[in-house]
Amino acid sequence: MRLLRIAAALAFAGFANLAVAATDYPTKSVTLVVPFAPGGSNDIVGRYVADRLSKIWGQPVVVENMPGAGSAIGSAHVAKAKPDGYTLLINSVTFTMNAAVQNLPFDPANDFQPVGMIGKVPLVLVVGPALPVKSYDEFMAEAKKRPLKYATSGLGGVNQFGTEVLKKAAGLKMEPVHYKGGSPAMADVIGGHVDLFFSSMTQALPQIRAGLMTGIMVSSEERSPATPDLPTMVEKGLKDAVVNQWWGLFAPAGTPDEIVQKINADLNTIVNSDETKEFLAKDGGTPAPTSVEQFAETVKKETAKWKEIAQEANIKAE
Amino acid sequence: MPGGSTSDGSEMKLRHPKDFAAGLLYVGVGGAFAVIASGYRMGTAARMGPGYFPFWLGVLLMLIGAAVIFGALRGKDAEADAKLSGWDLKSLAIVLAAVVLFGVLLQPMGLVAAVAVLVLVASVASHEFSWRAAALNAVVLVGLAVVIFVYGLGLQFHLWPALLAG
Amino acid sequence: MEFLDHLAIGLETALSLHNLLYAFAGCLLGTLIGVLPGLGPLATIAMLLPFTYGLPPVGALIMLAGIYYGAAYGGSTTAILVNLPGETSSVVTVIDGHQMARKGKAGAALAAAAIGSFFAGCVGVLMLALFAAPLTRFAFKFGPAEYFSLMAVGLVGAVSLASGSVVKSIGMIVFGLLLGLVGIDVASGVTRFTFGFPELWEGIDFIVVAVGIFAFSEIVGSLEQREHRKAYTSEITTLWPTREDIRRMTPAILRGSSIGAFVGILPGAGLSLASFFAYSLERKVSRRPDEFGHGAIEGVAGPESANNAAAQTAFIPTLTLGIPGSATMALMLGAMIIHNIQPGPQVMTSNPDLFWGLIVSMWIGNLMLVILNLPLIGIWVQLLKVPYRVLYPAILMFCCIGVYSVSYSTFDLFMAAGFGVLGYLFHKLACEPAPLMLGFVLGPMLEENFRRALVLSDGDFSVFVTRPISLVLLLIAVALVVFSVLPSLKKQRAVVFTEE
Repeated sequence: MRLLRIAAALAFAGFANLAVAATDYPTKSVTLVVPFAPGGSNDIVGRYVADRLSKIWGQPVVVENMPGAGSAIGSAHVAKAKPDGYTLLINSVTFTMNAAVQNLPFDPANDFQPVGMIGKVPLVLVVGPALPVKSYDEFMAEAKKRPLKYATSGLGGVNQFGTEVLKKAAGLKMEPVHYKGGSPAMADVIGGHVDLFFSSMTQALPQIRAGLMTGIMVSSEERSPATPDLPTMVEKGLKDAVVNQWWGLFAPAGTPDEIVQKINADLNTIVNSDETKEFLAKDGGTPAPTSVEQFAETVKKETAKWKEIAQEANIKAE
Repeated sequence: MPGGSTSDGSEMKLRHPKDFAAGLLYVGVGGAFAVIASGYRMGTAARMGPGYFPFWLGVLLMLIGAAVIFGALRGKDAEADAKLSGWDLKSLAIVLAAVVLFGVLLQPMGLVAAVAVLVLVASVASHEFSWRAAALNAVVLVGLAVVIFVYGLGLQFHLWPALLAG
Repeated sequence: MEFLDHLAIGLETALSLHNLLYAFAGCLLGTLIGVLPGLGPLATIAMLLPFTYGLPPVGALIMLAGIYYGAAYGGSTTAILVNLPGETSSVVTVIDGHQMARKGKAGAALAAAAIGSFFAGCVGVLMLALFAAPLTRFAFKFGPAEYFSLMAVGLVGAVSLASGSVVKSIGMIVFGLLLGLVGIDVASGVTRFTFGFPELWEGIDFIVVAVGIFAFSEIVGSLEQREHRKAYTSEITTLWPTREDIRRMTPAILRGSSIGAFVGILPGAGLSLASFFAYSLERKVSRRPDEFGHGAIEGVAGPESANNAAAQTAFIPTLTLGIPGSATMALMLGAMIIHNIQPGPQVMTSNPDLFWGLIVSMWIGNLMLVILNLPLIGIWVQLLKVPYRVLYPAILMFCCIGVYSVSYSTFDLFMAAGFGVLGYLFHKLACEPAPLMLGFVLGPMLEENFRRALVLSDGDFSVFVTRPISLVLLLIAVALVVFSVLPSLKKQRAVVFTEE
């Protein structure tokens, strides 16, 4: 126990010396708001990043779970927090999607300063006994024959947008069946009650490996190392058909630029480490280091993209 | 509050004031849900919109309420405990005020102050109330709360007012 | 004798001194935190999870299993002693358990719950060990249509929860169904009945309603009885069940365990419905149905057994598929993943020591629990002797902290206070809250599955009767109405005539 503590202290000292930057941020503990209950992917990634950041900074990074209303409650809290870099938010791709379908108690485009992306993981399209196809071509043939029913983990979530991207690119007709979360959606695919689900890689991998569901395609730019046999939509000629589940850090709008740049630099140190690569690879994900500007651009572009798709597909809380 | 106005029941011959008030409550709540639900898209039974299910449930609750009211007026023989007994609004107000105060104070003033106020205010509702005993109880419970939830379980609570920690 | 080999693997893992200690620590912590009013099993498990992080994976899982049972049993203790259900399944325990406590039989009620839970736990673990695979296949047959029909059976059964007016309790069920609909509509994304509060988007939390309607109104109700109320009980007759009690609770435990073990495998619905089904059944087969609601020991033993058997078999979809069926299961699954164990179809073959170790440690957890809790009953019962003026501020404090800790939101506290007013009104108007709680839990599932079934069938209502399981369930529901509700309506009138 004592040995551990000494080792930790040494680690603090070492890193603190290295991190000489234009700003002396942080001089006190930093709060990282996770806008979900403990246990989900945002929470696990958030705690991982918080732990590594606190080692670099020599200041505690305290994770605070603020679940509720999708991620709206925690996000709204950060939007209103003092823009001094001491309150940060971790959120995922759904952050850019929620605004397209729901009236939110904050403005995702203007209330936040994007800091940097952490990692991303593709979606994988899975089918069960209701749609006994084995390959991309068989799937497409069947999908053109009849309007399929696809499961979602809730209106306007990443799974629905993933399917809508496919629908649009391939010109298919499909109808959503909404579930409360990914688990019941998967159960109904395995049980043969619904045709398909564009699932998060994490959830689907064990079922695919056990042969309970069949993976058909993935949604990333390139094939995933976790499922090297599955084609991407892009390589099958579906233009712009890319959806990634990602996590990133945000600060309240108006946070001083040198602080944002410093957090970004330290975040990238973590993201680029082998440890992080391994951490994300467990679930089929990959690290995704970005500059502040790149990440801001991604957030802007995706927000606009989902808005457009939501309008075309008429995905909107009535 | 539908219960309050009917407690004397002088106008109509009420066999069962309790049921009468319960029926009014059902009609009121069912009506409120049905009215709000009618503002959502209704759809059809086969393709329900968000308003369909709550609207018809609201109507059903109103009908049940009406049946309960009817029974209360026409019941053949009144039960002994059918009357509405006295309302102890003071205890209700004190206990719930303590809860609300706890909610108001918790984030700005911290756990210690919030629990102390909760216990002191709530204790007033007891007819055996004494400041000494309540204060002692508050000290013990603040200690318990801090030891169990903050040190034991490590929950996210601020112990002291936010200004002091600032 | 493959099974015996598996058992040997499991025993070897679970019976090491370290692991026994972890099991004991888990049970103890789970019970101690779970017994605090306002902290339901879900909150208890969430709070205690971090304690397992530092342990080796198998040890952590064993401790986790201990916490799980401890939290569930602690929740039943709160239900019996302070009339506060911490989760859906304890709503029925409250009905007769608390009445027993009022009559000085808290010890017997707690013992019935502990013994019933232990026996049911054994049945559940055995089912899990022997039939995990076929049971999983059966659970998959349940699609939206089947779930809807199952909910229909549950709702019809809910009427039996009330001991007073049948019409009024149907009203309470509908009231509960409506409350359950608050929040974002899954099918359309519309925020219903939220009045502009984002805090309501995900619906009202169970513990908020339970604390308001049960705990707060119970405290006010007790305060207004101006007597010098010592505690809940004036005289505690015995700590242990009498011979008569044991004779009555044994068949109830057997029936409850069987119902619970089967219903528990259905993800989502099973865990909440098991204890309701068991209560309805006990009341139906009892020769003294009138005692129900006034402290019938079968009304505690049956549902508690069902609940615990279901709690075991609910592990089946979680372990064999990696698909959690409830919030609690999702939490357990998350904890396993943190320890680098990915539950799923392969876990049985790829990590046999882990899988069978967990199964055996579940059983050991159950055993620890009964060993730990039978002596503790004496202490819990002593708590009832604490003067009420000291006790109720403590209950209030734990409830407030429990409500707040669900999502660290003071909004929930204000809402609980609002439900306190409603609960007091119910208390005054003799409206029984248990049917409301069942409606509250089933409401969203009922609507969701109905609409989902119709989307899948393109609006064809015949799905509910052309799918065999759904048809059977609907026939059961109809039969329940015909054979149970109608006579009780008649009897209702008879009671009005004779009782007073």
